[in-house]
Amino acid sequence: MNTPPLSLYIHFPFCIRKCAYCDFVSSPAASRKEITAYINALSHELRLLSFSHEFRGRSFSTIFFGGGTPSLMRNREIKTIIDCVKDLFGIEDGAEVSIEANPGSVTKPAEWFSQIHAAGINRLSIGVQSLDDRELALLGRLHTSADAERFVHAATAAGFGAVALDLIYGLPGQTASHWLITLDRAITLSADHISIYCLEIPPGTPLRQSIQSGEFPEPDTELQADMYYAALEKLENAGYKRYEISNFAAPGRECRHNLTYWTAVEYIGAGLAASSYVDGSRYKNVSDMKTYVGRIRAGRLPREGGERLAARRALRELAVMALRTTAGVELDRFTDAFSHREISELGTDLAGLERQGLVIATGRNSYRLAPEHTFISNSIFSLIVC
Amino acid sequence: MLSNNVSRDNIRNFSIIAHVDHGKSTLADRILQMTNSVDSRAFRPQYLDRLEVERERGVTVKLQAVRIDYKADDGNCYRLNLIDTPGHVDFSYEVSRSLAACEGVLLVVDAAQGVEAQTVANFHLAQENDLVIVPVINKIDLPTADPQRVKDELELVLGIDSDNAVLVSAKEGIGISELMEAIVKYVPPPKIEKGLARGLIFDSHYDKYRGAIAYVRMFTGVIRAGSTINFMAAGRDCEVNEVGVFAPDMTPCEKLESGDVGYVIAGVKNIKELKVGDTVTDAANPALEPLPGYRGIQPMVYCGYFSTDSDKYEDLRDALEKLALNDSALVYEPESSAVLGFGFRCGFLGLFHMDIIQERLEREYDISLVATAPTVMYRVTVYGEEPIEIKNPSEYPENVKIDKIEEPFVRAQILTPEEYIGPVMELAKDKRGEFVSMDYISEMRVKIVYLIPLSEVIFDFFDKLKSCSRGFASLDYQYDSYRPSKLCKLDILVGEKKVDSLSMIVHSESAYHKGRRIVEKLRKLIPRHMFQVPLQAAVGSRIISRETIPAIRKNVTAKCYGGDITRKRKLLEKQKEGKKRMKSVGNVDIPQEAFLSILEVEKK
Ligand SMILES: Nc1nc2c(ncn2[C@@H]2O[C@H](COP(=O)(O)OP(=O)(O)OP(=O)(O)O)[C@@H](O)[C@H]2O)c(=O)[nH]1
Ligand code: SF4
Ligand SMILES: [Mg+2]
Repeated sequence: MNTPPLSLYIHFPFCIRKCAYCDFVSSPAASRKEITAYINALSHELRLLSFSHEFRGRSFSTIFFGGGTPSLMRNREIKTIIDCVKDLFGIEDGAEVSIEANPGSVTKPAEWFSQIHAAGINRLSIGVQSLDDRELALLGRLHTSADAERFVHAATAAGFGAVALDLIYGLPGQTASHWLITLDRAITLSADHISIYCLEIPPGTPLRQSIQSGEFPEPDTELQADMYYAALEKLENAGYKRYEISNFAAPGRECRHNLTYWTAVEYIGAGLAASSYVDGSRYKNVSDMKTYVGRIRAGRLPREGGERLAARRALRELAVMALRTTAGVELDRFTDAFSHREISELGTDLAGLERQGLVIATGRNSYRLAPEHTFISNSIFSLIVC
Repeated sequence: MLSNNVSRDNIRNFSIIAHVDHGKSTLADRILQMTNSVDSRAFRPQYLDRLEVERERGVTVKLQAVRIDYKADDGNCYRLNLIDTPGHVDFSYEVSRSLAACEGVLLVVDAAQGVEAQTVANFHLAQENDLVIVPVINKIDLPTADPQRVKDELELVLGIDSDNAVLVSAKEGIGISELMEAIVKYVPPPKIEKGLARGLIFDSHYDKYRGAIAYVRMFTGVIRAGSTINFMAAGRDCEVNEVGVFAPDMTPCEKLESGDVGYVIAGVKNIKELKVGDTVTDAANPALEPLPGYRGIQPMVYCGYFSTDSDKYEDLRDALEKLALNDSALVYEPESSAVLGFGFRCGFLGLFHMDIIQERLEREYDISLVATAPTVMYRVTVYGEEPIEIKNPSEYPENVKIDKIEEPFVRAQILTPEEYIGPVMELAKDKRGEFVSMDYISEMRVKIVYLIPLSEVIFDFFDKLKSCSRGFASLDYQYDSYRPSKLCKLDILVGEKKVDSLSMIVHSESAYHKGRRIVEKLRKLIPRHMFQVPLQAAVGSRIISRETIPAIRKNVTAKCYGGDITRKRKLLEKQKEGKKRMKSVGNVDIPQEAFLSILEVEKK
């Protein structure tokens, strides 16, 4: 049987300490025991998922360990999970298996890297964030720039060919030249993938409070836009191609897992607060640890209800996601799942945006965002959502 | 059902009139309480201020009739029909309508403040109606009370014999029995003339369940429940479902006879047929002549009302129709704007009136409104043509040679302690006032009369007057005449396109200043777009001010992975919703607040 591809996201919700800007579902673990209990629950959840008929006989083409700080997992724990997935579902040949790793979270990086490589991980996404020690301190990260560089070198030395670096720009008080220095240094690390994220400072975070109290200035959005476009130029000159708003890769080295989110591929999320997209519905797991573990012990999936959007809304959501990528949206891809009318209405709207120069036609019924409008993409997307 | 049996000689119909805040409603409270007319559990201060807006702002905007039974010292039982009235200038039409239902008034004066501008104005209204005036000096409990000075002012300014003035404190309940006796003694009973049924509709309101309700003062004859009445001006017959009195809530009774004040509920189909000032008569035996009715009134200011949601035009019309039943000073006619769609051009007696109407529409009828900038009515003459009246700046004739433009002037009476004469006169001059006269009304206070353009008076004149006189000066004004002025039309262009609802007619000398301020204001209110948006103020083809809203540079979601999708989609949908609530001119979205911003500019 020809089943569509399927991806798996595994959430690891623990960190050593909360960063100053973070409002993700993550927190310091109370004890090693808590982590063990969580890993246990996670394998149970995978078992429960494998029982559900939608996934019968399906295997994964990508797996992603995200967090939190999944690099706090021991090699054994990672192996347990991967083996569990192999047994219950199956992992395709040549599957992409990534893990997020933070410098400063692993005691013996060289050893750990080679062990997890052996366990089946073949791609690393490293939370470098900045290569300026003052900025790292401002962000509340645990590592220095030297730690980050050593960490990346260790990864390459351990045989990882696919290494991605995450960077953050647009920090309070950061100048464009500081940002470009970080970027230059990151480029010299010769990773094959770089993501650059404009800093968001959610309400309630310590960094937001420091801004409110006047300790740091509010980041300047004009400057953030300048930084973005400057980075774009620098990265493309260094041989990275932008393939999504914030993601750059050497040709052919795009993150296949993340592409699933933007290209309407189905994915299962396992772990605390993880999201799934299956058969046109979106599900989310509970984000309270006790409830999560309790549900699984009781033999139930820890889902918090599903959401199935009406066709028009669903289609437009998918189009927006696709427009985040430089490949853009191909309306003909939707003909199986949506009515002719929904699609042609969307086509009319997109053609209207094209006339205004906001999107570019890349073929018949295909559009991509005009690159110069990337940083105001939400203004454009808001014109096509429901 | 209440019995209505009381000798016509024992009826007393009176209004309480005064300058704003001199204590009318509080005095009515004491009268209601001493006659046990309200249940003590139901009582609350300013009991007769029933509208939410009145209670919240602590000011009366509606006349309120109430029937009271009072046992006097002479042992007789009297039936009092009391009408509490507003004191604010913008609601003086409520006062004049109340007076037509009465034989007397209590002219209340604050013992500390003395005679003020609306004391004088309301006194004149009472005089025109040939009513007996009972002067009442209130707030004698205040340490600054000076009843003797007030008495002198009453004599000097109004020519009232103040020997009989009743001294009271409505707050402390002092002098209320004396006042009650004075009412019985001085206010005459209604003159009972034989004749066919004739009742004056002095007010009305719309009730969700019962429809239109007419408030009636019977002058001759009788109206009974179950009979058929005729609205004389409307020429419409209706069956009477119920008649009753305000005791103090609507209480049914068998009939309303000459001299009575009460209400009539008739099956009025088209509520526009119920007109305040009309006469009701018995359809079976109709009177030949209607009662004199009311003088029509001219609005002082106009503005456009548009419902924020353009589909709600019908609801707005319905609400205006119903509200107009309860506010006969409100006039409205359909208007359409290229930007705001279909709405109504409404006329008011002042900005406070406009504000109250807007709030009542929003609260009582659940309508959400955009109001455009208020304007007075101008008179424009194009060469060789008849003058036209312009109450909407967008009707201003373009590209033609204008012979003259006239604007309405009012005669403003300002009462002020003499130490503020200087600042008051300076203010009046600043507002293009023309001095008419100045007289001493007592040793320390003067009355200054000016002719001032209405457009200068309606916005901030009153606030400025108060602040330059430390709150002591008071103001009253009436329409005087149209006079030529140097006026021009100021247009606002957003994204190179003229926005009709932002145009205004201004004095040539202030055009530059106002244009600049509006443009500055709009720059703050209009959100950034994907392109830059030029804002311009223009007089004719001359641009007098310009600003640019720079293009937005950042509106991006940096991270959008599996768990973020739903939240981010909702965010985008919200952005889209926000845009929908705005009004668009070309490609530019203008938030609704922008249309109000002109008002603020006018006020500064
Ligand atoms: N000290 C004192 N204050 C009083 C007295 N009578 C009324 N007040 C106060 O004066 C203020 C205005 O009273 P209202 O009864 O609302 O005055 P009003 O004349 O009905 O006002 P409008 O209807 O808005 O014109 C309130 O704060 C009252 O409490 C009084 O006899 N003595
Ligand atoms: S490491 Fe990542 S998930 Fe953990 S606190 Fe920092 S930003 Fe949040
Ligand atoms: Mg009052």
